[in-house]
Amino acid sequence: MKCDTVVPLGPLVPSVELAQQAGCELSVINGLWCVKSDPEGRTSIPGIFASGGVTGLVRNEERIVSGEVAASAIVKLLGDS
Amino acid sequence: MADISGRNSFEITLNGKPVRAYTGDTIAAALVREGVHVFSRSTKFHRPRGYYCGSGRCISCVMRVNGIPGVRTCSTPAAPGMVVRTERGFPSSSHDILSVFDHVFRKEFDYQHRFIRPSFMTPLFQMIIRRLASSSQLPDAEGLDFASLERRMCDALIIGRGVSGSVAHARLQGAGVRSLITVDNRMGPENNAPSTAFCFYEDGDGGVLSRNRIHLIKARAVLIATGRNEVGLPLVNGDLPGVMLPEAVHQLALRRIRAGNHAVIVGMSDLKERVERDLRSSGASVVASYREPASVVRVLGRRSVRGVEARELKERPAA
Repeated sequence: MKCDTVVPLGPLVPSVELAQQAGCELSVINGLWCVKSDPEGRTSIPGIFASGGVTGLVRNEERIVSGEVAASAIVKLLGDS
Repeated sequence: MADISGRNSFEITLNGKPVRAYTGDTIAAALVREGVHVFSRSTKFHRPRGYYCGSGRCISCVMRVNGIPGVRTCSTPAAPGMVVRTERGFPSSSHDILSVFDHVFRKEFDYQHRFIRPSFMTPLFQMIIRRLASSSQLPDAEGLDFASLERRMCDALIIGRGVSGSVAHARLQGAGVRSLITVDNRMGPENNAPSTAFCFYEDGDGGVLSRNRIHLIKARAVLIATGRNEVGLPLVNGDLPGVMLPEAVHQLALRRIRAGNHAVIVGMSDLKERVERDLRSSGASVVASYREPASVVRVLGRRSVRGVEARELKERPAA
């Protein structure tokens, strides 16, 4: 098969390195390490939130909602302190 | 001079030869548009390396830019008069005579045990070995812009500007959070200064690198939205220039640059549709799509991709 470009579609792995270095707890979802977060996006480290693909979400709608939810939780935190 | 869409163009040079670039181009994008395939050489064997991840994650595209070695050309904006040189391979990355060594020493050239006697020849040997190991030269004195440190404070620091990061950014802005910093490692129409968050220090400060400068950011809240990382597939000869990840194809398509004329897609992921769209919108055709990576026996070509050798798999892959 003649071609000049090959596009490999490999697995999409959550980029947890930064969160891990910050000390956030991780968990395994579908065989991949993800950042562990509660329903409002809080990680195990106070003041650090996580949302989107890094928490193991795949579907677009879920990622959008997780960003909104985490932002709301951040607004609340900033207002409280 | 401007192109059809009205963008201004300017000149940069690659190994002394002029290359046209347009506003919004990364260095790598300008080079691909010009038909450059070989960006660097691998460290141990002198295998050609091209534009691969397109997102600053690998080191296939590193070159010497304005006297600074090891610059990722895929995430560095092109600027008028930029002096770009390939730094791996001799005399250049596209024509590397040192690759002869790969054929003579098929397993590997053992730098530890060869070239040690007679000892008075050591300085000469070291020069040769450094060339062979394709190590870079030190920065030019005048090109040096030592990373300086800048301390900043903010209410919220968002790391990543993908789907959820962008949504969160808009939501926080809407809620009146003014002191907001968003880190985005991709260069785009809205972002001419790619930045990377590289660590958190013990006191909780985030370290962010942007334009050769380190920012230490103290934030009251941090949102980590670093998303997912594209991983390639272990294909035989899968390191050839012309093999590129979805993000690389996307970054080219955004700038109306064709990754190639005839593309083969291997494997299956959520990004398949976007890859097909990107290829078609930039004028490339998808000549084959193999769902099972094992269908591809090897990628063919010497300096860049010429084709793939495929086989029928015994068990029928799901359509």
